[in-house]
This record gives sequence, C-alpha cells and structure tokens, in this order.
Amino acid sequence: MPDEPGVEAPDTFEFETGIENAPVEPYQASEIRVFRAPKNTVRMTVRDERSYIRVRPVNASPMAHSDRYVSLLDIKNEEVAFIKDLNDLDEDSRKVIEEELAHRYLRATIERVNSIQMEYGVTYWDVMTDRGKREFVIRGHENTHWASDSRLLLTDVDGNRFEVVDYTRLDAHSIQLIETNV
Amino acid sequence: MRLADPLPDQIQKKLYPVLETDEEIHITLESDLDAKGRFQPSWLIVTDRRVMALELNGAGDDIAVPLEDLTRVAVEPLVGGSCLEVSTADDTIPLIRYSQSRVDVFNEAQRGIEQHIEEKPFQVKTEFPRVVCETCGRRLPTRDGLCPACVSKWGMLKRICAYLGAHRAKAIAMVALFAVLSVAELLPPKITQLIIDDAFENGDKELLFWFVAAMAGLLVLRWLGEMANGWLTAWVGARVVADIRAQVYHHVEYLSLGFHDKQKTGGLLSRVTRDTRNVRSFLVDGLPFLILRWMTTLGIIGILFYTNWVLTLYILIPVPLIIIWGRVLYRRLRTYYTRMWRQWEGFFTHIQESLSGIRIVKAFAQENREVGRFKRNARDMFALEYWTEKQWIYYFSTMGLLNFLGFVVVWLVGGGQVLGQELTLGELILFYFYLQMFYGPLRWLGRVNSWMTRAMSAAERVFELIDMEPENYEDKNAKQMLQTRGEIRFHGVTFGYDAALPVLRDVNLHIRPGEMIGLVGKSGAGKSTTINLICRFYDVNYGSITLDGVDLRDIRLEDLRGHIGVVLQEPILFNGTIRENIAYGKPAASFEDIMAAARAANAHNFILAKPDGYDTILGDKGTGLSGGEKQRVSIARAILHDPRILILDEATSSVDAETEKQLQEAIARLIKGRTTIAIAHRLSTLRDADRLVVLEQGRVVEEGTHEELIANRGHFHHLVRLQKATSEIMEVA
Repeated sequence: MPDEPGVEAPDTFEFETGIENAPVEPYQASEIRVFRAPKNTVRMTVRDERSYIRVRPVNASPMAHSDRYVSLLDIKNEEVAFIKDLNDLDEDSRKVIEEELAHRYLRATIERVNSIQMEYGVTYWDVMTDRGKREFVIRGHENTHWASDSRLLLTDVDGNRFEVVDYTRLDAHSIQLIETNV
Repeated sequence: MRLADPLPDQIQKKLYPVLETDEEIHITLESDLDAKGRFQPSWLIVTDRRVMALELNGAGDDIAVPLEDLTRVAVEPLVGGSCLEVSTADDTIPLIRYSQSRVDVFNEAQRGIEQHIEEKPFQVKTEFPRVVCETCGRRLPTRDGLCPACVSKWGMLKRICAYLGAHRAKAIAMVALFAVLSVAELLPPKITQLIIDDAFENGDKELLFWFVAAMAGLLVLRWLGEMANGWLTAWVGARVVADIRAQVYHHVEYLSLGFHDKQKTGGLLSRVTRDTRNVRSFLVDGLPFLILRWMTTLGIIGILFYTNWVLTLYILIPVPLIIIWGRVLYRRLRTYYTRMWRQWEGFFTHIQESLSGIRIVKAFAQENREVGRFKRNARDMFALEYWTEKQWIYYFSTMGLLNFLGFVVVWLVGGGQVLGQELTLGELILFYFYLQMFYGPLRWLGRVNSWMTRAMSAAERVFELIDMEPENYEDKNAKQMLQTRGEIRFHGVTFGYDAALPVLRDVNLHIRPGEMIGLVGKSGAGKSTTINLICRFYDVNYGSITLDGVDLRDIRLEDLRGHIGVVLQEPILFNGTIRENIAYGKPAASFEDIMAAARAANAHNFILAKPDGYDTILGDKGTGLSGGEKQRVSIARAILHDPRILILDEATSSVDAETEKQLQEAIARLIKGRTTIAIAHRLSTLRDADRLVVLEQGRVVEEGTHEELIANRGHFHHLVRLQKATSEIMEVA
C-alpha cells in the first residue's frame, strides 16, 4: 500500500509562474550555455534566446557512466537539456556543471582499506577515500554489492555510499582484506 | 541552548569576534563534511541574528547570512548526503553539506532556522536515536539497537537457557543423567587397570569375575542412560525451539510495516526456519556433548593426577598447543560461517523471487538466465563450502599430529616409569585409555566452538527480531475506543518514510463523520501515505492526527484498526475458501451475515455460480477469481467487518464497464453512513464524494466539491482536462 518510500515522483502541474515550459525534446549540448547568476543559481540559455533559471544537472547513470549522460532538470524536475558528453559544452559551461555534479554526488572512492572487521554479520570498515579517512559500518550482504568482478559498491548503515573502482588495483593489504571479508 | 555541539578553540576564535555583545547563540552543529566534501568537520552556527557555516582552515569559504535576509531554509537531498540551503531574495545559498549520518540532527536545525525566519518560538527536538554503543564506542548497526560486539556469547547462552526454565524438572533430570553417564564412562578404564594390577597379578579368578560383572553392569547402565538422556534432550531441545519459533513468528506479525518494508521475505523466512533450527541443533547435539565432555575431562584429569601426577603433567604439554591452534582457526572459520549464512539467504531470496515471478521469467524467455544465476549461486556456494571444509581437514590432521605427541610421551615417559617400577602396567594402560578419552573431546573442542558460534549468531539474529519494538498493541496508556463517530483531523502533519524526505508537509484536514472524501493528485503526491497514516501503519514526524479529538497514538491500536476497513486496488485474498476470506476480519460471523455482505457487494451471484459456492477454495493471492470478482470479495469483507471508517484505494480501476457498474453499486452501499476516504486516478469515480482534497507534492492545495473545484479552474480543473484529453486519445486509438 505505501507509495514508494522516499523520493517523490516529479509533478507535472502547470504553474502560473511565467517560467518557460520544458521543451518536447530536450535541448542538446551544442544549443545551450550554462552559467551562474547570481552566484549560487545555475541558469541555462538556449541559443541566447530562451532562459531557464535554476537548472540542476543530474547523472542519468551515476554508477555505470558517472562521467557522461548528464541531464539538466528545471525546477519542476523536467528534463530541459541532455548532454551526452560534457566535452560537447563550452569550457565555462562545463566547469559550472562539473562543480554542480561534484556538489550533488557525495559518493566516496576507497583508495585504501585499513581494516575490515566482521562480527555477526556486521562489518566495521576503516578506509582511506579520495575525500579523506572514514570509518563506517555495513549491515547485511545486500549493502555490499559487486557491480562487476572487481568493482565494489558499499552502502553503510546510514545510507552513505562508498565505492571501490577496481579492488585488484589497490595495495596488497587492501586486496587481501577485501578478498577474505567480502 | 540546544543542538549544541562543542566548538573547538579555532572556531571559537573565529566566531566570537564576529558576534555582537548581546548576540545569542542558538545552534552549533558539527557536520562531518567540509565545503569541499572531504571528511573533515565544519560547523553550522545559528544565532538570533545570523546563520553561519564555519570551517577549521577555510577562511575564504566561511559563509554568514543575516537572519533578516532569509526567506526560506530547506534541506536539499543529495546523493550520499544532504545540503542545508538558505534562500535570500535573489539567491539560494548552499550553506553546509553533511553525510547521511547527520541527517536527523540537521533536519532539526532546518526546523530551528525556519522558526527563526517565521518568528515562531524556537523549539527543537534534542533527543536523537543512539548511533554509538555506550559501552565500547563502536558504531551501532541499527539506531538504538544492540551492539553486536557487546552481546556476549555467554549472555546469549544464558538467554537460550532461560527458555529451559519452563521445563525445569526435565532440565534437572538431564543434568543428573549427564553426571551418571560421565561416571559410567570414566569407570571402565579404571576397572581395566584393577583387572591387570589386582586380578592378574594375584591370579585371583573370583576378583576377575566381579570386575567383569561390574564392567558389564556399567555398560548396561550407560546404554540405559544414553537412551533416556537422548530422549530427554530431544524433547527439551525441540520444545525450546518450538517456543522460540512461535515467539519469533508472533513477533514478526506484530512488527510495524516500516520494518516489513525494509526486509526481504527470504531473509525473514530463513530466520524463522534455518536460524531456529541451528539453535535447536546446538541445544540437542552441541550443548549435551559439551557438558558431558567437560564433566568427563575434569574426571579424567582428577584420576590421572591421583594416579601419577608427573606423567599427567607431561601429558598436559600439548594441550595449550591444541587450544591455541583451535582458536586461530576458529577466528577464520567464523567469518566463513557468517558468509555461508549470507549466501544461503541470497539463495533463498533468488529461488523465491524467480519462482513467484515465473510468469514474467517465462514471458521474457529468461529461464536460461535464471538457471544461470542459480548455477552461479550454487558454484559460489560450492567454493565457499569447499574452502571451509578444506580448512577443517587441515585443522583435523594437524590436530591428530598434536594428539599423537601425547601418546609418544606416555610410552616414552610412562614406559620408562614402568621399567623403573614407579608405575604399574595397569596404570600405564589406564593412562593410555584415558588419553584417548581426554584428547578426543579436545579435538572436538574446535567443532563445539564453531557449533556454538553458529548457533549463537543464529540465536542473535533470532533475538534481534524478538527485541525489535513491535507495534504497540498492548500499550497500557492507550485509551479504549469502542465507539467512534469517525471524525478525523490532521493537524499540521509532516511525514516522510525517510525523515529527510517529507512526503506530506504540514497537512491540515478535517473529515467530518460520515463524509466521503476523495483524495486527488498525481502519483507520489502523498495520497497512499495519507491513508497509511490514518491506519497508523506509520507515526507522523510532526503534528498529529486525531480521531474524535483523540490523538491516534493514544488510541489502542486494536480498537483503531477495528474501526477501519480497507478495500485495496490489488485486493489481497488468502489461501482458503471464499467464505473464510469474506469473514477474515470477523471470523465469528454467521453464514447468513456472510451471505448478506456478499449480496451487498454484488458478489453473491457469481459466487453461487461456482460449483463449490462459498466453499470454493482460492489459491494464493486469490487465484481462481477474476480481478473484478476479487474486488467484490474484498468489498464484501469490508462490509462484513462493518467499520466506521472506510478506505477505498483505487477500488474500481482496470475493470470493464459492466463490472465497474456492479462495483460502483457495491461501493455505494458500502460507504453509506461511513466516513470514507477514497483514492482514484479516474476522477469520474469520485463524483459521489462530498468533498475532494487535491494533494500536490505532499501539500493540500485545493479542497471543495466537484463542482466548486471545476469552477475554480485550478489544479483539479487542470487534472480533469488532462484526463479528458487522454481518454479522447484512447477513444480515437
């Protein structure tokens, strides 16, 4: 009976706000420019004719294709532009989008495993990530997900995400810990 | 001052010069992320004049916004964390980011800042669930839950044994039998020694006869004892596990929906069956073995010391080695047992999933892939089991070697003593026999340890379930409510399945007794959630819901749900007859009442047409009935239940026109005189509603009769227009 808990589905009510509606087909990277005005608000203009204020970049496939396929959503969560490859944008636009993506996606990449302790189905991790040292706890094997033979995705008890891009390329100590414990 | 994390010196040095002399600090909150998203602390500070975000070493990144400039404060959910955002007239500033671990505290901070903006009294919650174990400081795997590191094996054992209390007499008899058994096991080698040293030495035939008779007597005693004991332990073990299993199942039924949303059915199934079986095998096979061996071992050491303490000391030399060896392997194997259990759980889930979804599997011709997945699973399972067993073999062979060391010592040292007349031949033989009995259990000590571990971690999973807070049916403070007028009020209700993502925001609603309300809105607007809250499947985060002026949380759950009847879009019927299904909420109902309900639900006729009538057996989920028929059975069930409050969730979707007419009639009879809350995507089906409530993104945006809302030309009008357009398109097609 419950709605899918958590995220709300986008709403498509018409607002009498005078804001441009989303296009039928999303605009392509070559048609748009993205910039900040004022400082914290991301705007998008289409061929310098139309303007969308407060657009939000999201990754269509943040796990499998974290560096490609970016959509820009308007405030109604409707897709207004689709960027296949960030390099298709001009330099300034790309920078803004990269900053915004970095702001939104807080996943940490594990670079070294200091220790893994497994007790009664709960695993205590102590790791070094690209964002610094962190200790966390994982419960249940559904939160330890092998995305491929070497790529490991972890979700801790609070819902924080950690990733090992390719465990075989970590140092020997980390490899051994992962192999014996995961 | 609340939400007050201590500020380090550097931050204080930064903060105090900025503040005015009479400025009051209201919130100081530590985030686990800095402005660059690194795992470094940063601080949110809210005073009566401004909000600030400060960092240890990022002077340039510090943000301060005066309160009077703020128009809005919001929590923006990110991936793997959230961001507290404040808006001014012309910009929205990302103030501070934090990981998922700090979500609940920052949600409160958001409320606190909002109160400042709206100039309401500053009131925030300061109690949060425990996330760290108070004893050892480790992170807890569940908020407010048990710390697995601090739950000792012995504590767990004690808890299992507490279940023995109910069968005390049998338990005592068991222990007494153990004592008898261990004596019966200890004496034969001693008698052998006496035969050699006394009977043979003196050539005493009569003595020999008596010794042999005693030996035979002991063997018979042991035979009888073992049978009686086996019978007893089997009974007690099975009984205790049945008790635990019944308790677990009872508990699972009473756990809140919030728990069931998160659980996989396979995992639960495995806890109720496999884990309790593991506990049982420990109780029936492991524990008795352990007790008997300990008693015997202590007896042996006693007798050996008494016979010849020097030789005994020699024999004890390999013991520490054996124990250390056992511990080393125990640690490694424990990991593998836990993994094996996890693998099993995955196994269960997969089989269950693919068999219950067999239609889809076949429809997409994916049998091969499912079989492939199964094979892969089975292969992993094989690898794991093989590895674990390999470790065992390694362990045992090495153990054998260590044991052999003992025998070498006996022959070498003991043999020397026999030659030196310090030890009789009988005593040497005694040592030889006892040594076997002594090292035997030591060899198994590792096995018992792992049995125990397996059983204890199984027991822990079982007790974890039992310890979970169930829905409070037996709340002593809850009020009885046998009658209700069916008046429901929402007072500023805010709720989210995840507290960070509210699905309902500040909802105010007044549903009068006997009124029919239609909830309208896009999917995800919060319609089903509203209903879940009325049933109290979940508790509100903020605000309150009242029935006849009494907060739902103060009403006995049983009474509350007794007043509510539900007809779902996907009617859930159980394996059983149609009669039983209609009477599900009221098993004592007479057959006449059941038929009357079926008549009112327009179900009577189609039921009669079935060969077995009301005794027609439905399969799982009501297979054997069409969608419309299932609907009508579930309506009959609701009519029989005769609730004051009725919930209709999309009850008439996806049926043909004739069936719909029948259903509409049935529903019209059903809602008469009851407070009804209906959800329907098809807006036309809500024409009979006294009032419609339009929800949008968790807020009530419009309220009124069908005509009023159409006349308003607002949200509802827009929805109706959209649907008309869609149905026209459908007709053309």
